[in-house]
Amino acid sequence: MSARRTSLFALVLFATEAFSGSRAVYGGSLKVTAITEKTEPTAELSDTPVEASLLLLRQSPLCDAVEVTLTVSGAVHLSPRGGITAKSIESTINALSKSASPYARLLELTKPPVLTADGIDLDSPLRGGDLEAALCHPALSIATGPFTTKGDTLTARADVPDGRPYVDEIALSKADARGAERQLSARRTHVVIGGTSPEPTPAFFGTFLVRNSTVPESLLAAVNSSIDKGDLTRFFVKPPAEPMWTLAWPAIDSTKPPAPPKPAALSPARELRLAFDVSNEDHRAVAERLQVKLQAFGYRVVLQPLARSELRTHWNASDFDVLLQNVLLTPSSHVSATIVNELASRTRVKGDATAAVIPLYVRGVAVTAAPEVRNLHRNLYGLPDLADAFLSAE
Amino acid sequence: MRLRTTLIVAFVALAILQVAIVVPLALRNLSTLLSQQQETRVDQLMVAVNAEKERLRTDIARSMDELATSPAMEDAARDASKVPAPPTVTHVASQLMKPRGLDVLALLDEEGRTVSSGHLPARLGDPDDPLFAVTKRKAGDIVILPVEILGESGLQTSSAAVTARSIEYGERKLWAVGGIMLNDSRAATFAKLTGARAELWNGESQLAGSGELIQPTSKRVVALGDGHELRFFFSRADLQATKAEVLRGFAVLALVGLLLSMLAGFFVSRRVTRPVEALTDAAAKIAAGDPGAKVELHGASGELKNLVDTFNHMTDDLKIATDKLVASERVAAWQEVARRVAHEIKNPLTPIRMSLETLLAASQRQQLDGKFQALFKESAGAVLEEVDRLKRIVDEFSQFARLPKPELKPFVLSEAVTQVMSLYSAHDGLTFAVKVAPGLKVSGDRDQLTQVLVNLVKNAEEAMQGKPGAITVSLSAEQQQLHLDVQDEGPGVPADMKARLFEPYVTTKAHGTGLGLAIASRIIQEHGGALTIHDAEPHGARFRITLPAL
Repeated sequence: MSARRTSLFALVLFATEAFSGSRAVYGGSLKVTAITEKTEPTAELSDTPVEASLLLLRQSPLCDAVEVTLTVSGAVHLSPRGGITAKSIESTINALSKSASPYARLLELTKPPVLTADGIDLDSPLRGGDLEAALCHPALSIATGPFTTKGDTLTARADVPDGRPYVDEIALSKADARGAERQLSARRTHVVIGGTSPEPTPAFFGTFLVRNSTVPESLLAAVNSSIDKGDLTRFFVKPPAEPMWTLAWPAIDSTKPPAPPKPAALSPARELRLAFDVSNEDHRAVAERLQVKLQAFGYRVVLQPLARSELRTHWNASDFDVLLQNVLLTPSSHVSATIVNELASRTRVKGDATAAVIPLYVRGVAVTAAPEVRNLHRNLYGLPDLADAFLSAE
Repeated sequence: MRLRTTLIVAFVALAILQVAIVVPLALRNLSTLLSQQQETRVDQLMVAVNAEKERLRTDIARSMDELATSPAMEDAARDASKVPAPPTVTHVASQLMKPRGLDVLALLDEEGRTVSSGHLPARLGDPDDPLFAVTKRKAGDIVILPVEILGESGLQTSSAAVTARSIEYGERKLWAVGGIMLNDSRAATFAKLTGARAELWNGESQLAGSGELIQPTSKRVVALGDGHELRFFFSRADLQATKAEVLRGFAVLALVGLLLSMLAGFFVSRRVTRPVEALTDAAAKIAAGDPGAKVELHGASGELKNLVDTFNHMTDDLKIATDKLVASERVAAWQEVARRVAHEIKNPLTPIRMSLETLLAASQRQQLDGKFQALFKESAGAVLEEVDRLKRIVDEFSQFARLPKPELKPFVLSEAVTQVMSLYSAHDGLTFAVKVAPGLKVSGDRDQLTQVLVNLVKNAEEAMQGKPGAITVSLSAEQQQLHLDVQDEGPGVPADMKARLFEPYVTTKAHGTGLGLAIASRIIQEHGGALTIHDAEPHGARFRITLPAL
């Protein structure tokens, strides 16, 4: 895999001063404010843009820690770089494979990883961009990142494979949107992660409505005929977000399909539990919208706000009627489809994922930086790569 | 009942009577007073409720008026008029609603579609017919209607008081329909204001409620319009508790009063009844034969002292009079005895004197011949007869005077009666019938009782005066008494004689001494019984001896 500063995955450059080229300057403390409740996310549950961004400060995607080659037998061989060991890579892959996570089949392994003298062999059909997308997914992060953590202070490490970050440390804080905006305007912070942004942003965080087999299939038609995903995204989801018309992401054809005919209302009306992440304001708004819209189709929607880990547990145990699930898709349609299929696998609905999962919208992460912050890139998933950023001396 | 007890009871009864009269009267007045006070308080609270109701209406109207003319509303109308509307319009109603104290706010376009909803943001773009209907009402009207909100299980309706204002921006016209929810929170406001349970009702459906319902309650209703009303349930429990507390106080006072009355009654009655009891004891002693009994009472005063002194004077007089009476009676008795003895002895003396004078005359006129012999014999016989009579009189007197005390022993009276009556047999047309119940026992002197029976049978024979007839002797038991009856068929005893028949020297016979029945009566009395006389049917007399049975 190529080094950080020459990464082919650093695709998106913003037309702002922060992302413009300049002479690099080492040192300094970069003040970062995250609009979130949590500042210590876990890999398996980092399904929101802000948390995934924060995760990458402490951990590195696998793609940054290995060199990828193909063996004669056709296996994918991962050679650790820097101080990373093959054993830790194997542990990371095994842990994800065995976890109750939509990302468990990210690498589509047919056999457990095999440790070799100089690395690890994976029996995976993924190649090229699909493989890179999978290896760069935050869910496959290894514990060693560009910064070491002590409380909310992240100190730059020197032994990072791609080289030491420019800044000496990152002072991390959290705030609500209004507070973060005040801090930025008062120059009390350099970078704000989260909030809203009118700028076009790469969006990979997909929100799906997942239907269990206990719920009539007509629910799909009820949702698709009554919910205008464009309006839903526009009015009930904080930008940057865009409607998701099909399960395939990024979709080649992202035009709005015609709405299906409205199904007949259920008689008598039935109760429908709609579980969602209690910490996700967008999901609450969407859930309430669904509650209003599905009433006409004979569904008395009972909102069931749950902690994210609890939501994941209900999903894994198929203990739900319908739920709103946020997953981090990938730039690869194939890998994204694998994640969606895994998401649909707990529904016990026969057939493909389209019978169980309704795509609603995708979100990106808004990043706002002060003028003195330079070289702030987004990675393959559109997440800010703060290890590359430096503070201008000007 | 003793006087002392009577007085104590009278005191207690008086106390109870006072309590029975005073307590209900006081309680009724107190209850009325407390009820009036509570009603007054409730009336004042209802004035406050009506004021609060009017304040809410005024607040709704003022908030909506201010909203309709506010720059923020103008901005919202501008945003809403854009096509497409900006995303910020989603929450604009919510942002406008909260600072103005409104619970409900919907911005509707001219077709009634929701441009923004503060109470139900998820309704964005959908028509809201109930709220749009408010825009058709008279301008400024506050209408109470069901409004859809998010609930635990789907959408649910809750009543709200709303009013509509029109906002014109350019060529577009928006409607702002807003107001307050009539929910538990609102009911809680009224409950807190009144201290009562407050409930919001639409017809017969309860919409909301707050406050504790403590029975018993009194109900008040305030109409809100459009079929809605506020119902208040004021607890009367405090009132009842106060009444109960007062009642308990009265009960304690009554109990204390009763105890004090009893104590007072005891001491007063003791003071009053001590002289009376002393007088009663003295009177009993007098009745028992101690006419000189005196009342020794220290501490008496007033009328009671006068009464005691008078009583003691009276007993002194009574003793003197009794002594005089006893002395005079003793003299009279001796006089009567002397008269009787003289009478009884005098009667035989005349024939004796005449016989002796006849003999003396005969002996002087003629020689003692055969006629004289006959005369002598006759006269001597008469003298002897009278002497015998005198002897019998002396014996009876002697027996009456020296009648021995009976030696009481248990024996079967039935056998004794049968044995005595077996000695009698029919003669000269006179028959004896004996009806004796067997085995009847008495405790008595068999000889004396036999003597009495023989005496009564003899009297019965004499009463028959030689005429044929039957003498019936019967012995029977009744309860714990034995009845020994001797019945003849003679002429019977005149009524005026019956009362005195058992007195000494009273007789119906020409030659009777009048001591036989007196002796018999005395013997029976000393056996604890009684000798009585009754008329027999169809004629004759029946003497009944009544003795206690063993």
